[in-house]
Amino acid sequence: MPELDLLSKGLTTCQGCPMELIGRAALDTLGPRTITMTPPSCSAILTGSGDETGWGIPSVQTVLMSLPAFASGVSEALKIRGMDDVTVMGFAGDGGTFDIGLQSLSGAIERGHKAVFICYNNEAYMNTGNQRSSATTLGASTKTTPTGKKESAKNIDFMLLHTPLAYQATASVGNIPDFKRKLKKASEKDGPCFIHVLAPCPSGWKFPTSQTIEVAKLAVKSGAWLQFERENGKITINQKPADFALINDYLDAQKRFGRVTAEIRERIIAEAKGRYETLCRLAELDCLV
Amino acid sequence: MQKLVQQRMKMLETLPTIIGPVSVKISDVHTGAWRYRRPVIRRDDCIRCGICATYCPCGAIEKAEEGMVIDYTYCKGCGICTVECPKKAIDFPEESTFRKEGE
Repeated sequence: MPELDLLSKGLTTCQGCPMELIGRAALDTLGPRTITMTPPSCSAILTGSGDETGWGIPSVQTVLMSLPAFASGVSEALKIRGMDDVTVMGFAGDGGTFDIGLQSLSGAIERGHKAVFICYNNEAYMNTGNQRSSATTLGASTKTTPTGKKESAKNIDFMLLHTPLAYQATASVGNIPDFKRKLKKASEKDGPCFIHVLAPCPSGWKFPTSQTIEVAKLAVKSGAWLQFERENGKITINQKPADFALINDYLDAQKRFGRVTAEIRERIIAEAKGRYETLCRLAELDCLV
Repeated sequence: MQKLVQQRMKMLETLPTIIGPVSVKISDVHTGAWRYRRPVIRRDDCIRCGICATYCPCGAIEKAEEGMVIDYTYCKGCGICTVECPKKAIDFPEESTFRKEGE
């Protein structure tokens, strides 16, 4: 008898969509005893409309600003019913985590509900047609910043360092085994967990669909994306950036950075270096919450 | 009658416990129609490492006894597998060449 798919294959996500890959890898790790919820975003395609759905597990379509509040409710209900082995998975994009869902997320973390919040970061509101979000990188052109974004992105990982998370990690679609390992760890914790995954979007970042994984790998290699995890008040850096000069290749691989000037390039590299240095200093401490 | 009920009850016990509502209508769009280039695995060069299956966003590649098998009903033709294959054992020809063969 063939095994049932936990996520349907016939989904109408774009070609080369990393979000679908993250969903698939997540269910591969968590198994059928999972309840998931998605805000209105690209991931709403997985939850579907009407009586149709892509998930083979219980799923909820929430409102954009309160996905973590839904997750806390479900998590408490499961606790009362004594179903401790069920994982609650929040599956939101960067809009639902960085901007609109932030207050709800910080509330849910503070109350300490057992849930795993996955944020797939495609660095803009991709589902509505590529508008800027606070996760958009400096210099990236979007529909609302056609000449390139003037501000640097919000660093949600550093913001959440001072919240009582049971487990916090960043991952990338370029390394699925690493993501699965982190998710496995998170699902075993008895408290709120946050996993931030880089999801290069071929249609929004404007690169060929076959390059999704390569761009994600390059982001980690160049130091534009940092791979680390926080557990028991200690930060572990998983992968050190090879060379910050590779950021130039990373920017050249994407058409959304087609108009960045040399000045902005330098600023992007300097910011990446600064982030890494801060992280290295923080990794020496073991007094985080 | 009672025996039948008992039988059914036993059957129910073997099923996994329901943890919440699940829709029985699963979205099933045949996205293979979107494809304009088709990945084709060369059997001789394939080492069956399964990396293509790990990174396929559609989950359209599966490991079978005869090697890796691509489900062309759902493969959108993004080409991630052709780039990620460590042996470069996946060709990526245009879809139109296959249609001509069929005609």
